[in-house]
Parts: sequence; structure tokens; C-alpha cells
Amino acid sequence: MIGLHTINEAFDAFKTAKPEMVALVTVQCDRALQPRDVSLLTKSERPQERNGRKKQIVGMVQRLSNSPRMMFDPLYLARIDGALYVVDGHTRLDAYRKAGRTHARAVIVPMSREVAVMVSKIVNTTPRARELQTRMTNEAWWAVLWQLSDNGRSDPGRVARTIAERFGVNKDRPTAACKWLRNGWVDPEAFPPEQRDPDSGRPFYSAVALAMHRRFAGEVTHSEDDATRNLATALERFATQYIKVATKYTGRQRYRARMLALDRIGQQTDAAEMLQFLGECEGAAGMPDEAAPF
Amino acid sequence: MGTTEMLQREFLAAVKRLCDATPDQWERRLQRWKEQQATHKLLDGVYKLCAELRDKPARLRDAAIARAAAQITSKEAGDDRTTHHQRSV
Repeated sequence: MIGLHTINEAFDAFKTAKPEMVALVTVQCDRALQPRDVSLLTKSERPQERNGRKKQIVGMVQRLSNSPRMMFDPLYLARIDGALYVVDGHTRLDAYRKAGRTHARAVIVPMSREVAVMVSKIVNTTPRARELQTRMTNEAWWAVLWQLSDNGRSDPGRVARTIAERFGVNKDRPTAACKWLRNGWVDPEAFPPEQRDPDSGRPFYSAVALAMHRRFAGEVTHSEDDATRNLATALERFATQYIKVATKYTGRQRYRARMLALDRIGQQTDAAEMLQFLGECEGAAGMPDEAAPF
Repeated sequence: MGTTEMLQREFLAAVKRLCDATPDQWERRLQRWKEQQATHKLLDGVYKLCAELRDKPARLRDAAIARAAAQITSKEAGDDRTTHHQRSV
């Protein structure tokens, strides 16, 4: 588990380190280090994100081709086990490559992959980067909070305000999320794989928030949803079969069967059994028979 | 509401009453069912399902019954609006 100070230190190290020229062929990208993940968005939001990125790259390539000495802000690269990974500057890297550049200015800081993932979440919400969509920002701070709570196993501590400030979001959301984690209400196993981050197994904020909303609204949670669906289907099937039995009899017969059931007289015909079931239930609850024909 | 739907709802209400019955009442019913050596296939299934439902928390039980009622209503209405809504939520 890593603490917030470790993440902050690594982030500060990028700001203070001296930029150097790096061959772009040595630089790699890791999906976990890119919080700007289009799959986090709804289908209607995706084109806007894709087009925004495309436009930005076109503009950058234009500027790079206009002046051969042109360089953007240094890329932030993490040295993880000897390899270089982009922490910030995915778009700039693509632009350099499209413009045919072989080298670019970059800042390199050695760190563990865990820390690099967290730094990438923070750095992309600073004014340095193109603005993240709300869903991406939520997932970014949630990822940091998840890491601070040791993958949902412990109390993340009093970090809600710091996180809210760092990511520029209303403090209510991180405060509520801290409460969920502190009380152990978030069980990652309860979420299906498509609602979890493939890299860390962390359930997505959107899924957790919905589950919590349902929990407080007194509805069933995700983990219980399947069980409810199966039970409801079974009930529906029985209800359909029940019609076949119940419609065989006239109202008078049904009423008589109920009365027999109430009197605890065991009339063991196959016909009366189902109606007895109903009659006994109604008898047990002391319900008047409104449907009685007489 | 058609007769079919009314009967189905009546059935669900009976199941709910059975699920909400006290443990004593439930035990007595099961005992009688065994004593009578009844073999009605449908009722057998209903008892099993009720036993399963009784093991669940009341919140989940009510949700399952409400869901079944909603499914019945939507089928009766000839569309799958409710199912679609549930899927999208």
C-alpha cells in the first residue's frame, strides 16, 4: 500500500527534475497510466472526446512541422524496471510520432508501477493537461482513494478534502466514498468483471456509486440483483402454472376449497390442494375473502 | 387488469403471506404438507421456492415479488417496457 505523501513526492519529483532528450522508440505506453480512457464514457460522450483529441493532435503536428526546432512541454516518463512509460503526455507523444520526430524533451523519474499509476491520475487533472471529462475525473480520484484504502480493505483516513482539492471536485463525493470504504461496504467481488478495472480489479466509481445509491434507497444491490431476477422468474413461472389449476374451478368451488382449508378438513383431492394452499394462506393472515361469490 | 393477471397477483400475494408467516406457522404448514404426503408437483415447487425466499432478507424478498409482479404486468400489457427499464437501470 502506498500513502498520499509518496504520490505527492513522485509528482513533485517530475516538476523539479531536469528535462533531457529521449529517443521516442524507447518510450512505451501503458493503458493503466492513462486516465483518459474513452471506455469510461457513455456512447454519446465518446465522439466528443475522440474528436477533441484528434483536433489537438492535428494542431500539434502542424506546429511541429512549421518549425523543426519546436518542442512542447517535457513529457513525464516513469522508469519502471528499466523501461520508460509515459505518465503524462500521451497526446504530445502521438503528435511527435506523427510529425516524424525521433527525439523529444522529457523528464524521467524512477518509480514503481503502482506509484506511476497514481501520479498519472493526478497529473492529468492539473491545468497542464486537456480537461478530463467528469466521469474520468471521478474514476481518477476514486482510483487514488482505492489505493489509499489498500484496495478497499481499510480506512483511507481523512483524505477526502485533500483529494477533492487536488482533483478539483466537490468534497461531498470523496467524503461519501471514504465513508463507504471505512465501513467496508464496497465488496469488489460483488461487481461483475465488466464493472471492474481490468488492471487493478477496482470496481468503477460509477458502479459503486449506483450500488450505494440502491443500498440507501432500500433496493437490492448489484450482488443481489441476479438472485432477485432468478427468484422473480421462478415466481412468475409458478404464477403462470397456477392459472391452469385455478381456472379449472368456478368461484363457488374455490370458495368452498378455501373454507375447507380454514376448517382444517383434509379433502385430499388433487384438485383442492392448490386452492387449499391459497385458502390457508389467507386464513393464516386472517384475510376476508373478498372474491367470495356468496 | 385481466383475469389472468388478477389470478397471478393473487398467487403472488399468497406467496408473500407465506413468506411473511411466523416460523411457527411455517413449520406447521410444512408439517401438514408432510403428513398429508401430498405430491402436487406445482405446490412442491412453490414450497421449495418459499423456503428459499424465507432465507433471504425481507428487502430482497419483496424486491423479487415486486419484480415478478412487474414482469407479469408488462407481459399482460404485451410489451417488455418494464424489463427494458430494469435492464437499463
